[in-house]
Amino acid sequence: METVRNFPVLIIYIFFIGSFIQPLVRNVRISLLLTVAISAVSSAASAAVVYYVRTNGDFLFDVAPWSAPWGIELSIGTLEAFVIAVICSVGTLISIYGIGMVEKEIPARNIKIYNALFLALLGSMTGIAATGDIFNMYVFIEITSITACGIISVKDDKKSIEATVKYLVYSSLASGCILLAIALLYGITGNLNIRYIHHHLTEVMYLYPRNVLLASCLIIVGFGLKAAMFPLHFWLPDAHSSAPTTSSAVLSALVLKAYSVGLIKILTGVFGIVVMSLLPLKTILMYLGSGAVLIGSLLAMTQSRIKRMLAYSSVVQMGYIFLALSLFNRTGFTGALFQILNHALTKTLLFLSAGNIKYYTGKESIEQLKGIGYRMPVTMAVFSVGALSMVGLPMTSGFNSKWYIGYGAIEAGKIGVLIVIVISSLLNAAYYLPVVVSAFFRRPSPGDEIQQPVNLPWFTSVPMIVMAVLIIVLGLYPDPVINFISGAAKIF
Amino acid sequence: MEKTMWLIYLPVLLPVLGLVLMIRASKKYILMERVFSITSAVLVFIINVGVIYWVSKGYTVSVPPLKVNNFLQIHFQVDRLGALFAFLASLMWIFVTVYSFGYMRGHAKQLRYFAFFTVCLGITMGIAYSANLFTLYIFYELLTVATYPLVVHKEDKKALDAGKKYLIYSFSGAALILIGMILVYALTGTLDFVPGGGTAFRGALPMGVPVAAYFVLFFVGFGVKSALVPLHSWLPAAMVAPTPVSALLHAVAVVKAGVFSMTRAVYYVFGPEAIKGFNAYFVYIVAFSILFGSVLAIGQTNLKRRLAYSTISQLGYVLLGVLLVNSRGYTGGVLHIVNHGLIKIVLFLCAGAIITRTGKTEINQLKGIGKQMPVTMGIFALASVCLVGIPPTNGFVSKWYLSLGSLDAGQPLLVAVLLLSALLTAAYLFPIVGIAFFTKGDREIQGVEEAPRSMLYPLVALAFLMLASGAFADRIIDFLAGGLEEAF
Repeated sequence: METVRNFPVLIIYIFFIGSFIQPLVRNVRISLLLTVAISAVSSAASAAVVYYVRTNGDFLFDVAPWSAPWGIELSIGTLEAFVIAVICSVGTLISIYGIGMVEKEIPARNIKIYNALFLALLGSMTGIAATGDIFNMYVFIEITSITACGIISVKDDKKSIEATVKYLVYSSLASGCILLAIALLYGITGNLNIRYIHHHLTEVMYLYPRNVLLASCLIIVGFGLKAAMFPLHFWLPDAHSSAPTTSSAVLSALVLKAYSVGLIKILTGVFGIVVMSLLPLKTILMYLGSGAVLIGSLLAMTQSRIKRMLAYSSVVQMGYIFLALSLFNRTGFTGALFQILNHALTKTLLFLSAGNIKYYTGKESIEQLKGIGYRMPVTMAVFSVGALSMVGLPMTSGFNSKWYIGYGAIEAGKIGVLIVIVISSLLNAAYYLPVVVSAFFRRPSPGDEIQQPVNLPWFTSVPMIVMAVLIIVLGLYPDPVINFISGAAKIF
Repeated sequence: MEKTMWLIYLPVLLPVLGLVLMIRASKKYILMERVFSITSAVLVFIINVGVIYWVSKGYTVSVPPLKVNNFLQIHFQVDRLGALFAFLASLMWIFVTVYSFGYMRGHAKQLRYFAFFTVCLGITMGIAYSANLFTLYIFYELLTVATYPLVVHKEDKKALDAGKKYLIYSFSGAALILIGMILVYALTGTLDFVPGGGTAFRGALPMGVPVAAYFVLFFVGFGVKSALVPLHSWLPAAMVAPTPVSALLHAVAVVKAGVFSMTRAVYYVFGPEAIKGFNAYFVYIVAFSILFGSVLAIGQTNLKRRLAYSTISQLGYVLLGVLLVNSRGYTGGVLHIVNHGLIKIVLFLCAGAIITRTGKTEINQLKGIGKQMPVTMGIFALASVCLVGIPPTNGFVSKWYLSLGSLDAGQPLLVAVLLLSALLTAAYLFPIVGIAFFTKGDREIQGVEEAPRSMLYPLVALAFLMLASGAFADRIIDFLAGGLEEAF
């Protein structure tokens, strides 16, 4: 049982070793299968970590023979175990889907590079979640940024390269902010380990109030830019919509989550509840979150291409997480974590559906989707499940995150937040439901009518069906997940 | 007394299971969708007969709750009100399903039509059986989603626009319910339906809790599906749906789900005690809805639209009875759910028979149709008499109780509103009968035959039920009376 304590670091190793042996593989198919195998092994390991944390509680793990504060330490609690499990399992589903789709979208010479980058990305995201050392976190953030740029540009066309450059510039800017904040914190506390910084910060914060304030601002801006917090989301639609399907799914569903988890870890671990309540962070997060869910929805409504609409919708869904964090209570925090899982599943499902539509019918704009439900029944059925979950209809996982955040808002005495959430879910309906309606209830445009239903290969349809079923199961019986993640909310 | 009966899951789940089988089987065999939809309707009705038997013995039929998360659970429990609604809806479903067989002949996408038609039955049963606000809310939202494909069945621009309007109104209403639900949970810590209202609303409330403001959320939220006047415009628009859908969903399932939910909110969430403080204002809004709906109905030239506005007015009667919060008003209101459901479905099915045979939808095109379709138009005339409320029809009984309830509440003005509205009802229904029977039709009309049998038989059967509900009104009143003491 005690060996499970090694698993988080092993997961990171497995991903990176997998990444490095990718160039040695000759056959493209084997390279794709290797990606699936590595992700699947990590998922199994992450499940063991979740089980271990549930039975034995939080634990610390020294990576090197030196213990903290000199060596790097992984601190695995409920939050970390949960997020690692989400990253590994959703990553596995995406890689299974990738068996069919990667070859079709990415030039053959780039496939091995794509696989190497994909595995390194999953490994570095796991690292962000697992680490207990902020400089180590910074290193993983940098790897995540570069590999994320890489999996956009593997498509090798003009548009994706342009989006990559844009993404790279803003990402580097954000990394700079984070590094500066780390330097400021190191300057006043003399530590890089999150536990130690927190311990010293409570003592020295009254001596250096400006340093703490500046560091917190830089953290918010840096992570906000990386996690597409409104109004720092402007790079996201280009980057996420011009990437290949599987990359879009990873970027929207997991990379944004990894950064937001980094933010949560720093806010709750480094600053802690006491320092956070002294800073105006709550109000800032609340206004930015409200802006994201309202204005993001309005922007999504104006999009004509389905992938861009999904990208803007990610801004909205990230807004829910920030809004939930701003509530500063257990229910809200539970809602934020549940939303991480909900959005990871749902947005992956939606991006993969959009990818199917693009590949099999060549259609990209919402206007062209008339009557497509009869040509691609499975794809559009699972898309509908995802869309209804995004709207937050009861019996889908989206409803549960809406309920927890909304109820948390009332517990915090902020009825305005509840109203914002409800309005934004109506706005979500306004851009998701027209897609479903066009697919099933509009007559196809002339010349489009006589088409045989598309037969999807199993490795394309099975991951999507699994996600759709999970969305409904988590809508009807989220209890096991909620019970587990509410352990992380005990800090409030 | 509680009675655990696992069988009550079946009416909710059977139509959905039927749907899966239906889609599988209809690929191989023709008309399979019809077999499944009628079988589900009959089975659901049989179970409801059993349920209503136990409920009338004084039991409350329930199943153990299913936990969703730390706050919410899905729980089914059938009391007198729920049993009556479920019984009524499932009974009419059988007739309208048979009627649909005739009506939909030759229409496109019948599989989709019957699939969603049957799913709606399960969802309506879910609304009737729900034992807490959350379960009600789930099925209330699902009803919107599941009826949408039926509303837009024609898939032309008009239908899609009507569908969009329907979704916007319904989802906005449900959003208010969600806010109200979270607020009520935060205040009382429970969402269960308790006869007489939650304990938190009974005694002294914490200072500064605006109960009236909470109730406004529910009033407006459920008011959308109840087609209360400023929120009604989706209902006439939704008349582009095939006529059986208009009949069932817009006379029974959807709008009645709205008033049924409002009844639950008034008597089982807030409780009469809490409502009594401010109900007068809401009663006036409803009275306005009654009159306004009738007046607008007179101005309609399209038969189905006229019936739709009539529904708006008649739903006001139900809401009036519910919001008067006294026992006679409650009896009148709930009785009118039954009576109006039967009458309006008959009127709609007559309109559908005319559309199938002649393709005519405007009232002034119906000249002389009474001679060609005597049974259909005879039943239409009979239903008109019932809706106006001439004794001894069923419409009279419910209006009598509503008037008594108004007097009990010290609002004699409302009796005048009821009388005026009865006159207006006569003014928009009797001219149709007059045109049909007493004017001479042109040559086109003279070639028309009576409706096909699959449509005529359900129509006649429902007409008998309509008369029976007037003759046996005391049985329904006695049945409801058993649940009255605990609610007040």
